[in-house]
Amino acid sequence: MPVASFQSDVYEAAVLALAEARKPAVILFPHSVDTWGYAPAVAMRGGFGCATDVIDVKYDGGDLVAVRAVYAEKLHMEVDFPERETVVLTVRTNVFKPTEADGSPAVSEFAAPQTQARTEHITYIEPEQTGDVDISQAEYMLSVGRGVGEEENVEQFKELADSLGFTLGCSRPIADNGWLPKSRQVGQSGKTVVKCKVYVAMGISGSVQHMAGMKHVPSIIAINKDAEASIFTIAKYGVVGDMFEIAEELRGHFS
Amino acid sequence: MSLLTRALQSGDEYLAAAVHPAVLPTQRQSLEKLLFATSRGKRQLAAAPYAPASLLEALASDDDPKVRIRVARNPSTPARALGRLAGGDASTALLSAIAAHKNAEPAILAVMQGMESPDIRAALCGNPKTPLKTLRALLPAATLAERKILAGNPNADAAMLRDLWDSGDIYVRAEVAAHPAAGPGLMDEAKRSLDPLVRRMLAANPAVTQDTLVALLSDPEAAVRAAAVRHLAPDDHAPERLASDPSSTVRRAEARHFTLPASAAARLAGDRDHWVRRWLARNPGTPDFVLRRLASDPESEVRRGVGRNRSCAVDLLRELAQDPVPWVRAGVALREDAPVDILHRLGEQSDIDVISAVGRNARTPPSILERIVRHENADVRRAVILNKRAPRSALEAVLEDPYPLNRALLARHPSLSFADLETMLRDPEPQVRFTAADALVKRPRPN
Amino acid sequence: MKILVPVKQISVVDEDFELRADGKDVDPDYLDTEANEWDDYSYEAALEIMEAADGDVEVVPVTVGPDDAEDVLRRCLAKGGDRGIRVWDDDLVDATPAAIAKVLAKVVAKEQPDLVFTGTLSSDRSFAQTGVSLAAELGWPHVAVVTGIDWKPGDPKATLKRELEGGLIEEVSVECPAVLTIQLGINTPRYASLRGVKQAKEKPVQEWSLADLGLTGAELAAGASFRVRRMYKPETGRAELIEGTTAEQAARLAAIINELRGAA
Ligand SMILES: Cc1cc2nc3c(=O)[nH]c(=O)nc-3n(C[C@H](O)[C@H](O)[C@H](O)COP(=O)(O)OP(=O)(O)OC[C@H]3O[C@@H](n4cnc5c(N)ncnc54)[C@H](O)[C@@H]3O)c2cc1C
Repeated sequence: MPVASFQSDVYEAAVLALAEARKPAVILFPHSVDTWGYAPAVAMRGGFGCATDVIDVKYDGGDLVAVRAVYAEKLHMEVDFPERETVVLTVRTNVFKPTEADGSPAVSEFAAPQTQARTEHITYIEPEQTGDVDISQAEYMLSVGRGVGEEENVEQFKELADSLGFTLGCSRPIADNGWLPKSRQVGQSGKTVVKCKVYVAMGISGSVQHMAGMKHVPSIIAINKDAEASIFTIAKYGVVGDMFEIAEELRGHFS
Repeated sequence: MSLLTRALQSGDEYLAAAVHPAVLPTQRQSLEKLLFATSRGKRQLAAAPYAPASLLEALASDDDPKVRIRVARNPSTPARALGRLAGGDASTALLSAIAAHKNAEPAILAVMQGMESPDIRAALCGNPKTPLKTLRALLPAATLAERKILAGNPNADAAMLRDLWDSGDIYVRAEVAAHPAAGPGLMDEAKRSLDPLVRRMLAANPAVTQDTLVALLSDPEAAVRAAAVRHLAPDDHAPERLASDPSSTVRRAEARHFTLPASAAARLAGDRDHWVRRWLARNPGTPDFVLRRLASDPESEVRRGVGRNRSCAVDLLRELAQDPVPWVRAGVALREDAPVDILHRLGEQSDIDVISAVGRNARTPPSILERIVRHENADVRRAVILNKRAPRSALEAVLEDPYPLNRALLARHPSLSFADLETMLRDPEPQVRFTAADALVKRPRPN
Repeated sequence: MKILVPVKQISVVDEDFELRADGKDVDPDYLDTEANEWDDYSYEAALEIMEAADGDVEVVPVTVGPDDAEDVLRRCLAKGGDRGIRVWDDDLVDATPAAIAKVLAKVVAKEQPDLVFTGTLSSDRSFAQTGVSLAAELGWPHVAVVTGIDWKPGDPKATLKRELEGGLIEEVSVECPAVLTIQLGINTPRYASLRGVKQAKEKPVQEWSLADLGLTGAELAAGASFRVRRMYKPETGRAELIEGTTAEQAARLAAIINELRGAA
C-alpha cells in the first residue's frame, strides 16, 4: 500500500523547482500510473522535451535519442529533442536491466516548495474478490476458440487448463454457443485480461476484437493449425499444429 | 432494382464484393472496376476472410505482388487461382504460400518438388495434398526437421516410414509409430520400443491391432495405458481393473470409455479425482444409476456434465433444472429434449447464461423467444439471433439492434424476409451490408 | 454546464506495410483509420452525466484531425450530444501531443467547459500525454487513469476512482474545472441506434482552423516536445515458431510454460 498518496500538483511543483535549480539534461520517470498523471505536465510547464513509454535511450553525437513503440508495437519510433536543454523521459518497466554495480551518488537535500494541492486523497479500496472466477484478474490463462469444434471437446481443454493451473477463457463463438459461461469470454465485448502474464491461445484466429482483450499480455503462446492466422503476429511463441494433438501431449507434462 | 445495379449505383464495395460471384463474367468487370480502384482496396480484399472465390481468382492475376501473395495466403483461394499464381512470375515467398495451401492441386505441388528453398520444402513435406511421389523425392535430401514433418504426412507410405524410422530420432520414430501406414513390422518394433513416447504414439495409431492395444493396456507406463484405453474401439470393453489404476490419468481415460463395465463406472463415480467424475458424467455410456449418483455430486461441473450427457433421463434433467448453480441449469436449458415447461421456467430466470441457453435452444417456443429477444443484454439477444429455428416474429425486435455484431449475424438468419434483407443493405455497418447482400445472392428468389 | 470530450481518429497499420518516403511514418496507403477505443469510454462517461442531469449538461465532442476525422465526431453524435467541433490545419499533420494540447486549450478557452474528459491514451502512438498536457497548458487540476466519476452539475469537486498498479483503487477528489483522462472499463459504452446514426448526419460540426484559434503553425512547431527521426520495423516482430513433431513441440512448450511461470 502506498505510504503517501500521490498529488499531481505537489509532485509537479517539486520536480519543476528541482529542475529549475539543477538544470538536468534528462529527467527519468518510470512509465507508471502516477507518472501518466504528471510527467507530461512537468514537461509542458517546464517547456521540456518529452517522450513517454521509452524502451531504449542512446546518444547520437550530442543528441539524446529515445526509442518507443508505436502502432500496436508493430513499429519502433526514434525521436530526438532539438534545442531542449531538459528532456522528460518515462521509461517502460522491465525493459532496462538493473546494473550489478552500485553507483556512488552525492545525495543532497532539496526543500520542496509549498504547494496547495487541488486534488485530495480520500481512501484506498482493495479490488473486490468475487466468488466466481474473474478472468480479468487471472495471471495465467489458456483460451480456446472455434478450433475446438464441438462442446464435447471443450472439456479436455478445461482439464488441461486445470492441470497447468491456468484459468480457462474463450473467444466469443464459444461463449455464444453456451459451451462456456459468458464471463469467460476474452475481448472487446468480453473481458480484458488485465493481469495476465501468460496467455495460451488454442484454435483462436486472432480477430481484432479478440486481441483487444489480450494483445497486451507479455507472453502470448499461440497454437493454430493455420500458419497465417493473425494471432501469430502478436504471439511470443507459436506452434503451427493441431490443438488437440498438442493438448494431448502437453497434458502428459503436467499430470 | 437488381443487386448488381444497386451495387454499381451506390458504389458500395461491400455489396459489390457479395454480388461478384453471382453475376456473369462481363458484369463482373464493372464490379471489378469499382472494387479494384485502389491498390489498398485490392490488398484488403485479397486478405479478407469473406472474399468470395471468384474475386480471389480475379485478384490472382493482379500486377501487384503484394496483392498476389495475400491471395496465395488466403485460405479461401480456390485451386484454379493457386494454379494461376504458381504459373506466373512467382517469388519464393509466393511459392511457399502455395506449397502450404490446403487447396493446392497435387499436380502443382509436384512441380515444386525440386526447389531448394527450405520454406517451400517444409511446406511440401507437410501439405496433406502433396502426392506420394513428391514426398519420396523430397526424402533423400531431407533434413531432420523435414523428416519430422514427412513422418506426419498422411500420404507417406510404409517404405518411406521405414526409412524415416531407421534414420530419425526418437521424435521421428514416435511420429512413425502413430502413422496409419506404418505396417505390421514397424508397429511391432514400436511396441517393443523402450521409449514410452513411441509406445504411447503407437496406441494412438488408428491402424493398430486389437492385440497390440490390449497388450499396451498392461504397459508399465501410466501414460501408455491411458492412451491405450483412449483408443480402444467404442464397443470394446475397457478392462475393469483400470478403474482402480493407481494413476488418475488412466482412471480419467477409463471414465471416458463408452463401453465401461457397470461395476467400473460405479467405482469411478466415487473417485476422489473430480476429473474422473467429470469425464464419467459426460460419458454417454455411463449407466443410468451412476448418472443419478453423479447428479448430486458436490462438484458443480460434474452435475453440468450429467446435464449435458445425451443419455441423461428426462426426470434427471428436471432435477438438474433446479440446481443452485446457474451453469448447471444453463446446461439443461441448452438441451433440445428438455420438456417445454422447463424451458418456460428457465427462460424467466435472471442469469444470462441460463436465458441465453434457452434463447439458443431450437425447441424453445416462439412466445418465449419473443420475450428473450427483448433482453437488455446484447449477448442474450444474440442467442436468439443465433437460433436458426427462431421464427421471424421473434426476430422483429432485433432488426434494428443497436449492437452491430448482432445485426451482422442476424443478416444470416434463414427466417428473415427478402424485405428485411433489402433494408439491411443500407445499414451503416459494412459487415451487415455484405452479409445481407450475400444472403440475397445465395437465396433462391421467390416467384 | 458543459463537458468537452476530445476524441481522436487513430491509424492502424496494415500487414506488410511500407514506410513513407521520408521514413518518419508509415505510408498512408497502408494505414486504416478507426475511432480510438478509449474515447468510447470518455464519451460514455460524459453522456451518463448528461443523462443523469436531465438537461443541465451539454456534451461536446471535439477532434483535431483532417476532413475524414469528422467520422469520429459523427460516431459520438450518433450516441448523444447536439454539435461537434473539428479543428484542422495542414500544419498539424505531424503534431506532437504538446501541440495538440495547445490547440485544445484554445478550444477550452472558447467553450468554457466545466470538465474535460480525454481518453487515457490513443492506441496508435500510445503517448498518454495529451490530456495531462492540456491540463498543464490550462493550469487546471487533473487526474489521470480515472475508473469512476461521481459529479453532478454545480458540484465544486468531483469524486473519482483511479486504478493503480496491482488493481488497487484510490478514491480522490478534484476541484473543478478539471481535466480527467478516462480509462477503459470505467463503463460499458453504448452502441448508437440506427436512428441515432441517421440523425447524427444532420448535427452541426463547427470547423476551426489554427487562425480561428489565434495560433500559427510556426508557433506550434516551436513548441514540439520531440522530433521524429525515423520509424522502423523492430527485429522481434513475429512469434518464435516452435518446430518439430507434436511431441517435441509439446515438450518445448511445457518447458517454456514452466519457465515463464517460474520467472513471474
Ligand atoms: C462488435 C464485435 C465484437 C466482438 N467481440 C468479441 C470478443 O469480445 N471476443 C472475441 O473473441 N470475439 C469477438 N468478436 C468476434 C470476432 O470478430 C471473431 O469472430 C471471433 O473472435 C473468432 O473467434 P475464433 O478465433 O475462436 O474463431 P475463428 O476465427 O473461426 O478461428 C478459429 C481458428 O482455429 C483454428 N483451428 C481450427 N481447428 C484447429 C485445430 N484442430 N487446431 C488448431 N487450430 C485450429 C483455425 O485455423 C482458426 O484460425 C466480436 C465481433 C464484433 C463484430
